Amino acid sequence: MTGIAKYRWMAAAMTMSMLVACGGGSGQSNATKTGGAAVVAQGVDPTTMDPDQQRETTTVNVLRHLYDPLVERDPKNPTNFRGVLAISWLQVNPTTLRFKLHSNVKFTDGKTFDAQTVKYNFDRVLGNLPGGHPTLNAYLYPTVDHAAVVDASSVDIVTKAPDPILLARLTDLLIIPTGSVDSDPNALGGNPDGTGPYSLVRWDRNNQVVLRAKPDYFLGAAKIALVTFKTMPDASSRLAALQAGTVDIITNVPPDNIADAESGGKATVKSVPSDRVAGVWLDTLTSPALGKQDVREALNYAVDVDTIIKTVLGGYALRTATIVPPYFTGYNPDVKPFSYDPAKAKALLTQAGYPNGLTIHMMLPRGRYLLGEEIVQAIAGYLQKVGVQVKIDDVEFGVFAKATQTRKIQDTFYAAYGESFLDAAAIMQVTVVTGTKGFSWYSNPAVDQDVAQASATADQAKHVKLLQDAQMQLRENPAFIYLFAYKDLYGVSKRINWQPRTDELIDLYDASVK
Amino acid sequence: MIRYLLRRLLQSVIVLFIVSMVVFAIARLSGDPVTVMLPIGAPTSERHELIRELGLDRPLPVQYFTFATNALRGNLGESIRFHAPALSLVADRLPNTVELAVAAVMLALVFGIPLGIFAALNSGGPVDHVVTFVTSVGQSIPSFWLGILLILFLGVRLGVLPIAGNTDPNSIIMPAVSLAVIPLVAIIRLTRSSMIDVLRLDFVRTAHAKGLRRATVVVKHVLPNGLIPVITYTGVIAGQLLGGAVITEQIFAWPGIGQLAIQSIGARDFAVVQTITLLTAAIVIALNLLVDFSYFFFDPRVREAARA
Repeated sequence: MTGIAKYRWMAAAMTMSMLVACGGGSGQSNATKTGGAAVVAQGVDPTTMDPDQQRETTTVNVLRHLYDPLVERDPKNPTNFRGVLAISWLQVNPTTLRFKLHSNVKFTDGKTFDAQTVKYNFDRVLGNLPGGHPTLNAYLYPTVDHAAVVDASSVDIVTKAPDPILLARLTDLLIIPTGSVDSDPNALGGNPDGTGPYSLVRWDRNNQVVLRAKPDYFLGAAKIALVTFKTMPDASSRLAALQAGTVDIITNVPPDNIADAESGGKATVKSVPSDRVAGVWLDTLTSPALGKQDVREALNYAVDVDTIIKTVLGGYALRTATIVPPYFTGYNPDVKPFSYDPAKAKALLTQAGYPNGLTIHMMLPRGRYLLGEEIVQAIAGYLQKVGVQVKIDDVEFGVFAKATQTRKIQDTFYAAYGESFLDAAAIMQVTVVTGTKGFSWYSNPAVDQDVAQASATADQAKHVKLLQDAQMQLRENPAFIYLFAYKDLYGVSKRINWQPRTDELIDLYDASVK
Repeated sequence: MIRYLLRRLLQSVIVLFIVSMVVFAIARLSGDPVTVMLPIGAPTSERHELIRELGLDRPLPVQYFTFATNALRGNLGESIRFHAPALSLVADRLPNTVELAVAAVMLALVFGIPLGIFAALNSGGPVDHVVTFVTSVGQSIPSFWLGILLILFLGVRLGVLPIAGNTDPNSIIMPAVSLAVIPLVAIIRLTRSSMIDVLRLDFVRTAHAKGLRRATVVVKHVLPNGLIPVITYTGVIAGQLLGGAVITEQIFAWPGIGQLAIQSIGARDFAVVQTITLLTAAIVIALNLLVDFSYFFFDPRVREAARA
């Protein structure tokens, strides 16, 4: 099969699968009558109403109701995609993805959405508008070269090299109208203008954002008429508001508060696997002890991760064999987690030349990750049993961020990395691939090669196979103390129908009031 | 008096200048915003680019000079988190903080002064013991704990008051009560002790000897003298509350500058932290000046001293 013929075949297959996906996706019209109201409580206020100048999930949660992306993840199967502003897409060649767009879609202010709009958005994000700079979210699109208009309802996204996770990247690009930031780069900061299912009623800064459903939304009006995002920084206040029935959705319910959240009978707690994978990063590059494979294996055998999940996290986490959870593209089900075997851990430490154990530091960003302090204490306890003394450095997040970014950590640190692309290549690029950039303290040429090749192919089967091989390498020659993927816990009022999503997005378009 | 006033104003300007330098330096000692702004795994080149873009690569004195000259023109910088002028962000939230602070101070004064007087007039008696006991308990209650108790009882169990935010006229009740407790007990104790001290003075005995009614002695002679420390304390506490009641605003999701300060410190949003601190310092200084000037009216000894 020639290269071109192969891509035609792939393109046809992708189009077919996409069209099938679209049939059951948000392209469906919402037949239910719009009505009722729902209140979501979040810890912080949105930082802006401009989708390109933010990097926070709490802000995206609001903006996703006001703006649409070209494509979005299928909430029921998050590794699949469905069209929103795009009707279908086709891989024209390894570096060009062509999108067929909905026509007659209007922004809130009446402007029309078309292919030129998509081009304008990429020009803005990449800093190609006259006098423009890359926007704050430009880091999400390092592979995109440009967008080119084919006709009014078709647009090509051209990448510098094949990008197997381009669709995942595009779920984050919320489309703004052509020319909206020409005269004032901050024009959308307080005055959103999107094609999304809701429009802004008012934004009382640091207090609440009130949204009203558009009756003429092109995919069918949302079922809930009024959605309010309330800013409530204190976790116990959010819990109390849920119990009192004054809010309908709260995030990050601690496992030990589940009974409290459900006690009044007004709410229930729903869990969903998250994209955040926790582990203890090991400095394999400069620490003589941690540079030894035997020591890293010993540390993995020494920690009873299943018990930590059960006792500390109340079971609300999913054990991972490496750093790839089962719902990521490229997951290898044949790679099994380390068993809890302290005797083997001691033997390996002796074999590595540490019969009397060793002492390591473990940094932890205080309050950043759910029950992080308790988890690190438990890990330290297990390690102590095999002779590894742990000095815990419990620091403020800013200090932690600086230490990791400037590569000044001592031995190890606990972190949980959220990878919203839900792709093994994306998480490995940052956490295990050799290089001074990124979040990696590990170097393994075999893994580097697998990830590099997987990241440069548009062939999904090859992409997956290479990543599965990389996981086998990571299991054999561990990079971390592998732990688990968190599960997100949401307190949800019984009066609304809503399901949480793996990508942490709170999207109420498909929700309804009972 | 004019000279005194001018001298105090000049001192205030110097204090503000020193505060601006201290805040500027301390904010930068705590780290840079780049580490918090960048996503985990961002390349070093992106870090350097952002440092340059934010002007953080320039020497500190140069950064301070730019900040100070812009501040004199009313430009206190732009928030790196909200992409909006820091002054407008703070100004948006200031009315909420003022509303809460005024409500709390009023509650503390309206209940604190009469209770303090009552305890002082019944010094040593059962009423005094009860008031002293209650104020001791009140002083020991952390405001965050009281806030959560109020939320659970009045908000969740009885459902009579809104739990969070400022979206209802009743929203202010719980945060104001929670915030008022500490100043309330302090004002009761201060009024009581100050009144007891004045009640023992000779001129009060003389007033009684002249045959004046007890109420007249208390209102006309004891109160004006006994309340001077209370005025001083009220100025101090009002300044603190106007600077943002951080914990109370956090618990009750009250959209004031205290909540903004917490978020901005975490995000190393220097411009906002500096604006809030400078504004708070200005408010505290202004209130202290007001308190000092009020002595001219309440305390003839100060008037005499100023004339001398």
